[in-house]
Amino acid sequence: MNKEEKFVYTACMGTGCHERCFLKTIVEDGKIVRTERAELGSPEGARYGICQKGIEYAKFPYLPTRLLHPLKRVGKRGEGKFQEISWDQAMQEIGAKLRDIRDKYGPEAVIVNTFECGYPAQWSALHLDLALRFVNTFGATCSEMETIDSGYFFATQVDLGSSWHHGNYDPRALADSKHIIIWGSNPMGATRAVATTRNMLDAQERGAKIVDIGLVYDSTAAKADQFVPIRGGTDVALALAMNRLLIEEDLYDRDYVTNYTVAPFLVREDTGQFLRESNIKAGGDPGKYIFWNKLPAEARTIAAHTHDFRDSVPDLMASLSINGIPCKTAFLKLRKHLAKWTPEYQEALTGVPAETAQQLIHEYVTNKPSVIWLNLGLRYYNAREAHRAIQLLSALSGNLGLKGGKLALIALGGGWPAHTDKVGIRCPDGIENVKGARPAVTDLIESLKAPDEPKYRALLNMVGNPVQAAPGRKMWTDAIFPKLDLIVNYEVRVTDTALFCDYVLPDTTSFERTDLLLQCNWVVLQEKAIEPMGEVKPPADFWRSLAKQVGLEHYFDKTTEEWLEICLQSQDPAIAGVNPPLTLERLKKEKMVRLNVPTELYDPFVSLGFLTPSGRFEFYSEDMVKANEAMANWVPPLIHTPKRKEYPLQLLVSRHRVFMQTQFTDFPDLRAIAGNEPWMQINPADSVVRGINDGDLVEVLNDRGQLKVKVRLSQAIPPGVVQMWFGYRASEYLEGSPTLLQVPTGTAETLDDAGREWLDVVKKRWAPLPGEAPSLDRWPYTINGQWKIAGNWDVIWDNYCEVRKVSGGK
Amino acid sequence: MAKPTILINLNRCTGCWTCSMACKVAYKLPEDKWWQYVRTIGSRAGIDEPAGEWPNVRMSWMPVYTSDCILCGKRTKEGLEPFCTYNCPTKAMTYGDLDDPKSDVSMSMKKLREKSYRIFQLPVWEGTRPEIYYSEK
Repeated sequence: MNKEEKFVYTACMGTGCHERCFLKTIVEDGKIVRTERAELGSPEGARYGICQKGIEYAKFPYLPTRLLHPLKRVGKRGEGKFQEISWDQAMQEIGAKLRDIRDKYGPEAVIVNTFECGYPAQWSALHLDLALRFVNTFGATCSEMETIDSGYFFATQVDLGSSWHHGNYDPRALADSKHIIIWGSNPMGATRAVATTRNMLDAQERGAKIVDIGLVYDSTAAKADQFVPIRGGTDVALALAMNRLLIEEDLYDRDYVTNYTVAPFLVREDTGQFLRESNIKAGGDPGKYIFWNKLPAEARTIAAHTHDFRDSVPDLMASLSINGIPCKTAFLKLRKHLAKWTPEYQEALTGVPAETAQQLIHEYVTNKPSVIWLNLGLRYYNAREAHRAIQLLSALSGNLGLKGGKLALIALGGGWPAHTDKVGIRCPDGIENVKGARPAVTDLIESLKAPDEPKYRALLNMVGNPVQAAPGRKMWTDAIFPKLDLIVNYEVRVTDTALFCDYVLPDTTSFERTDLLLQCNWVVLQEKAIEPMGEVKPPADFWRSLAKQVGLEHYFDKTTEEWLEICLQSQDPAIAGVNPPLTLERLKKEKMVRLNVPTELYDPFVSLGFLTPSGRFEFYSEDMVKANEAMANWVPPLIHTPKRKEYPLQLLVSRHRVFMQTQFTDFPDLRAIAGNEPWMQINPADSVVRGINDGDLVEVLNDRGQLKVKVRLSQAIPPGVVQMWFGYRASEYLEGSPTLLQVPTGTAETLDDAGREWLDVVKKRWAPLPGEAPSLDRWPYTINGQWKIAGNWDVIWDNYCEVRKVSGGK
Repeated sequence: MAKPTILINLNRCTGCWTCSMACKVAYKLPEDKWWQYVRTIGSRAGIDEPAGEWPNVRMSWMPVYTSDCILCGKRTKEGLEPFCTYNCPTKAMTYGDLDDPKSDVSMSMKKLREKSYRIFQLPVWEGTRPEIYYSEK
């Protein structure tokens, strides 16, 4: 930008990609001219960039689809007939209904949807903070109703001990990687098009090999040195076979496995629990685990969270009885568990040749440090198993302990974890006194679907667009919404969800509000680029006017800036330790301030260790024995069903690289790249047997629903799979929409014993001990994030269908 | 600048269109107008359509500068990079004076040549901007 130009920093709307870019917004005469990439100060510097979405976002406030005035529904729900009303009238009417519902059915009959994943600035945004403040003071029911990422949450919480700490990953760490396996996701040029892609390309230029294990040929596959196609939902089988090779070919890292995993611990054959000192010695310590020493051969103890065996040499293969209790090491149990997973056995399931599985594991261990990049691409019923099995590769190979090795799980944030003051703002009366309910998502969804007297009466949909985005559109429109007397949406545009709402209230874009952005070790001040357009209101004003209606105005009497001051009074040393102190005044002057965190890259696997009960990587989880899920296991995906006789194709509804889920689907420039309208891609091998030609109109159907769409023949899609772009409004399809054919997430259909057990395990693990003050570390899992641990599984890719020709096209 | 030049390392291009969008937004181009666009080197059936037959498929991309491109004349006179090269998220693009051996673009071209990259231009009959060079390995 030139010297005369004025700019502010803004969060990109597409924050849900987790790349977390921020923009320089250039303003002229009160109007946004364009956006550019922004840079942090030293040493992070130009870590960030910008993709086509960040560039196009400059046009968003001015698009014709932008919502600028409060709307009240006048037609039937879903019909899209609204009239403009004043904020006052809207708030009075909504307030009267909320009071009525609260008085008749209790405050918990009001649900607040806080599905914040796609929200600009996400956790640091006032949107989420204030919505939770309302939940906690009004006593509403809080939920992330479109629950996702459960496989990742399960695998990290059970095996590694934490999702939040281990989820962070700084893409600059790739500088030390010699080998990169991208598994099931499409980061390069697509979902992580900026800092991540750049660092991957840098590594490739330095000689690192990039391997892409994936379902379709995408931009990552095109940039990779090797593309390994794999059948949908079978990734866990390949990972189990690779783990078996690590052990059977003696390729595992004995030191890492001994010192940082539960491998040497003895497991009781009778109960499946780890043998403790208290089991074999009167007055023994139940906190001490037992291992078998080689010379002299004897049982010895090691305490949780210690990694030093000193003079002892644990026998990883011990199998014996101690005090009449038959035991085996966890490592031996793993070895037995993996015995059948030969390269040939996995080939039958995955389609990956046995020799390729061998080559993959040999390169993974010989070209250390090797990183596995996951990033939530394995969205099948067995996602938890796939994540656990892949995490195990990283631990067995010892890569988890190496700089440049590691696991990129969801690669959040790109820096040291830090949080603004969540207690002060979300829990004004303290953590102990929060009100409201946080049911498991499945319990909430099933209760909403049940035909009897509804427990819930109102939905305040503060973030999220379930009707357009979440699998199972019909569940929302036909089963859930008719139960509700009041549905309110706070949005920047009229989405498919908004069409079903009684009131749609105009929100600010990130260009129109002040907020804090936590960006890769920095806090950046997002200042207003333009004055709020039309009648849009920022969250501080929205909640103040709603709170007034329900007698909570004293909790919501602050301005945006006053709220941000509270956010900055965080006890987190990353913020509290900034010197001179981090205040809004300082931020206004400097625009960005580096957090009080080390200059070294954040590495959770070195600086943090594991937050499991043992303090080790628990590839064997005694807590999951009850659910028969102690170790990563093969669980068939939903598409492995006899119904495939009738519906032989996998239906993949995936995100186009120029869209961010449903966001950006209204932008003409981006639509031009995506093809301007929805279509379905099919491999010619599948189209020819169905008499389908390029451009034909086809019907896509399964036992849940159907849609009509134009077809394109493509070699980017394997035989057996059809692919559609996700996110378009239902009105863009000639008939139906793809989410109609998908298994609704959050339902009992996607839940199993392991999921239920997991919820109990996590509650137990993260609950404050008696007399212990609730701690911030435990905070996300107790008060604030319990609903994330839903127990149900992501099944977004896990759907089948058949395709029939309707008429010739072109 | 004697010989303003853009060098694009195709090995770093992911076909994301950020360059084209940066140009389109900055110059307020109408919906159907692109001064610069991204060509998919694949089956020629459209954007991101690979050549070959599954699973032996391949695809790459090439940003193409039409004769409408003004090489950000005003902006570069102020010492700034063109919008496309400045915003490229993978740093696939370099801008500078090809006549100046110390410019970014000359240095980059030299380095890539040393690493056995092939440096080339589109044929004249394509009618694209002549200041654009590509490298590929």
